[in-house]
Amino acid sequence: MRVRSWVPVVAGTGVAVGLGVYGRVHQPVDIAVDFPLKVWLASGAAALAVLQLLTALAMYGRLPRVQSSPWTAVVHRWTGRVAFLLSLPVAVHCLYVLGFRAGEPRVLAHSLFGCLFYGAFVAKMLLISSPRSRDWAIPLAGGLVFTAITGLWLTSALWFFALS
Amino acid sequence: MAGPEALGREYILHEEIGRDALAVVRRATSRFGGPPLAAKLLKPEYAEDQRVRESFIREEATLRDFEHPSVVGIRDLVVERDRLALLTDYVDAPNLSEYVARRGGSLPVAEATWIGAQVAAALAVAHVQGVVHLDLKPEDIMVVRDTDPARIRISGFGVAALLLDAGHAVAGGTAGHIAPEMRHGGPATAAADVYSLGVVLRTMLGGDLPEPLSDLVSTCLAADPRTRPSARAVAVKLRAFRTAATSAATTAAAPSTGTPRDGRTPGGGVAALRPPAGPARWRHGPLITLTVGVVVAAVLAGVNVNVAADQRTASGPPAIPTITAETRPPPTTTPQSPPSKPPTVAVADRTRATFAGHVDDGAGTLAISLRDGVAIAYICDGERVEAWLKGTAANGELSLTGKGGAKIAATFTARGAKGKVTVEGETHTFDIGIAKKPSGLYRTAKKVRNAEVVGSWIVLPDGKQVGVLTDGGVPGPAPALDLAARTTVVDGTEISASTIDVDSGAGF
Repeated sequence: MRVRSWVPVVAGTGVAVGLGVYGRVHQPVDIAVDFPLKVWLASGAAALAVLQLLTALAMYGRLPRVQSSPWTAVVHRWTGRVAFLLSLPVAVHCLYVLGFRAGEPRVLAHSLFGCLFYGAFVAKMLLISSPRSRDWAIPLAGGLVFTAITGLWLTSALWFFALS
Repeated sequence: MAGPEALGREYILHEEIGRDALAVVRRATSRFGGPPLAAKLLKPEYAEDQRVRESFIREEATLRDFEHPSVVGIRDLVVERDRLALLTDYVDAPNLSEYVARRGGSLPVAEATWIGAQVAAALAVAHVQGVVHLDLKPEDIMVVRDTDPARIRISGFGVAALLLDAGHAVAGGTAGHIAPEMRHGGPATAAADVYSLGVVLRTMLGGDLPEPLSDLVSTCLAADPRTRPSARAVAVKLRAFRTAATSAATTAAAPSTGTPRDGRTPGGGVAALRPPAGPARWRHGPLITLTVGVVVAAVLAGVNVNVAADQRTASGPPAIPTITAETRPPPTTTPQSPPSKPPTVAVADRTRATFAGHVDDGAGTLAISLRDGVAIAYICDGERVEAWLKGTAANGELSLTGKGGAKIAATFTARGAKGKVTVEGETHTFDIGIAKKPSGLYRTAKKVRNAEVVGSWIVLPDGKQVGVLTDGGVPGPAPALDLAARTTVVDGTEISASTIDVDSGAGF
């Protein structure tokens, strides 16, 4: 295996670990917290993630009676980009204001999912960009991204909805 | 999924590896060894049709004779009582549909035209030999990546045509990939394969194509089969695009041949189509997405840093309590010191505010006072049930506990708090707003005629009071509290009460 086959894995791991270390080292900042805005942004990203899963399954021919068309790929790409952009304000705020915390299981899981999400996302982008990625690598990275964003939503927005 | 199973006398069927409108494909091996095979088992409605069986037996020789490097060769034909199977080479490679998905949904022009040219060339040879595919779709095109760029192998040749020959209209072809004239019962010709080729090209290239390529795809997809180009013409044109795209991409590394050679080799031009081996390139789209993401994240981080800095300046040095004597206040003291800073500026751990309001479901009245990360709350029904809770306020989250399992989990801003409160084993939601002085929390604990009197009040923003007073161990509705004097009368005796003051810290 050539060296560059490892680039996506190394970059993704680096991003995940880097975010975690920053979140741990950086002193949390006191700042206004607008929970509803974050919750709705996160929910938007999570809803798009479901579309991501469906379009990915369609592209791999795993949806019965659904034929993949060129539109499937276009929808997959753009829902992914929009979901990623929606996630950024939430993530930047979380990381800067709250940091990586381990006080209770929900918060620890949320912190870990956050690091995993961006690590897996970077790996996924590099894998689909790379001219010679392994066949199994892209669904694996995509699955990790989906798992992470689902976990993020469950440990934050769903928790918030349950409180209100 | 079915386990190993015999097919004819010679073969063993293994797991399913694909299926389409006509057949189920399973991996197969020969009892006598040899390379792995794929068994295409026709669906029962075809397999049990006598005309289809005859047609297959009749055409077996033609199918077996059709050999091409880009075509998955047919090795054997098995006709059983209720089963009809074609055995072909087993190609352990992703099909084009999967391959495109793995590459992010579309392929670069150079690669798509290269794959398209191979498909077109193979179709051209087949058409010359009188073999048509009629059900060509990305799932039939295997992308074998033992070379760079990849080469392709087409499976499923002849199946649809034979079914059609046996009188099955449209041959069960795959919707969206089959030529319109065949859907309407028109003649099955080589032009139908060119239509399917157009669909395959469109799938590989995605939405935006360079204009001449887009024109070529359009002519392939023409509704009138007579106006579609031949497979060979498409192969030649695609090869020209391929050459142009490659030379553009590799910046003069390869000499550009303006006019394509006329692939007039016996093999149908596949040898001539062998491209110059160049390094495969990183696709730009995902890298752009990442770069945009980094820039947006950097901007957002800047915004957060600025907001934090602004809020620090706005809140200034920690507010110094101006009222100190609150237990015995001189009557001249203004009953409320106007908040020194607008409560809209939320500083998570320095929030000093009182929230008060009713709990949902009419389950009671709740007040929460926050001061520098410490939270104190009181909930009561105004009759008998009450609970004091204490805990923390940090990062917009409230977490308080009290006696008897009382618990509050909520979020807060400078304007209010919402969440859940559990008291006496029942959980209720709440969403309460800010309460300014003299609204808020009051309490007293005194001895009146040797009886312990403990009282607690919530004064709501509208001035209403709700409280519980326990007199000698018996809880009941609290008597009215005189807010100006902070006194109340119990059994004819005037007693004083104190407030939970978020500004001075009294009561915290």
